[in-house]
Amino acid sequence: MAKIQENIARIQQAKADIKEAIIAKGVEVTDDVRIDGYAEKIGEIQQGGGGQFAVDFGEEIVNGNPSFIGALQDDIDYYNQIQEERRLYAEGKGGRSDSQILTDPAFHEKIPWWPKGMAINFNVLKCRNLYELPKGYVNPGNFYNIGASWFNHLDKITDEEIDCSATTNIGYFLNRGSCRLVDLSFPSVTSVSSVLVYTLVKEISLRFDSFSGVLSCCNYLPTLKRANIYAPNATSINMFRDCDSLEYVFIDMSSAESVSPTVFLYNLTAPKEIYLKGLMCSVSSQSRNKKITIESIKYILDNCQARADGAAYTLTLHANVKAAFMAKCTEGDENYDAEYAATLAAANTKGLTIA
Amino acid sequence: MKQSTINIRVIEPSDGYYLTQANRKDNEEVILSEKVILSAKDSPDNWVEITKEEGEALQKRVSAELMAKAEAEARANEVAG
Repeated sequence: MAKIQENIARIQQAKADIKEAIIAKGVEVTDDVRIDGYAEKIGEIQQGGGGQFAVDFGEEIVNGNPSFIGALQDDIDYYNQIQEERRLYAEGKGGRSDSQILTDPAFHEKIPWWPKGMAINFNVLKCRNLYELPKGYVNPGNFYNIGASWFNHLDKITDEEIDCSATTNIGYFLNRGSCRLVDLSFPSVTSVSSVLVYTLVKEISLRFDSFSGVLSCCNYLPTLKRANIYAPNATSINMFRDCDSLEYVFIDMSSAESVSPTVFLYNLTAPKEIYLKGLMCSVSSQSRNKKITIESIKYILDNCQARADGAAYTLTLHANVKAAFMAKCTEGDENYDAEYAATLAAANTKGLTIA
Repeated sequence: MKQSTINIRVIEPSDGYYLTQANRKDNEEVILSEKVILSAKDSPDNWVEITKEEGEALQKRVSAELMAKAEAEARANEVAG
């Protein structure tokens, strides 16, 4: 029996050692990860030049700069995690020298404890468990990826804290982080793969002046209440899917000289207020979205506005949806509803063509 | 009693055809429609007929091109970044 107990103890110690070793390599291992999940965690360890490093906060940071990690006591799990990890991760990618992240000499003046010899060649950034970003902390320039979950526990992210003026492409941005406000402008972004998903954010304001790529963003934001989107040429799929708390949406694409009549699809079952200005909207067979209803189409038409330049714009509907909607608008049809007919007439005068 | 009459212009293609944009820009997806309800500010001249086979092939090709373009831009920016 003693032999069995010794073996169990030895295995338990080995498991704890493996966990610590994985964490030391910069990969998060939460307590709910069982030992048969460790192989996957090991697979996440970054290797090669320009790789990952970890920096101990040290007592001076914990005690001397409480604003960085303070006020997290309400979140006991994360607080314990901070106590355990006490690390700030930065992650390199390929040893390139042109990234501006953490390389500005002024950065070292602001964060004197940062090891000067290590903060080079990074274009992927993790800022985990920071409570706030000091102004000017991140100057990403042409960074590609501000990574998932890497801005946990920030209360807000604004242009004052992150300079996105030279960013041309962004991938995942915020994932499962808790953040009250995201207010950013991306004047140079032309391609977005996914923005703002799985985030406990309450208010967002995003501006994409040069955007022309595929925008799949603002999904699965259960706490989001307000959204202001300035995206002149947004081509969006599944916008606002599963944003069940959404109350207010303002989408402005009217500043574009030309607007793509492409897929701009969102789940409109929840919003109480929506302002669509210059919107090109498509609910097409590409959507696969089962939540689009005749009622939501009426909602779009009720709230559409004439474009500032007076031009016509197009809402494309799936043939079946269009037929069902038109039946509502056709006198003599058994589904005729005068309110729907009035809605269609009003939208028609505003310049909305339905194709 | 509430009564309303709406006058809307509807254009439909010939059998075997879709309607599509007459002046589609390079970065626009292809719209294929069997019924277009023209707004007061739109014109039938903005729509042309295309055979269903040609339209579906065009839509598929343009959609793939737009997706490839977006992915290429993403890759290029990743390398440059």
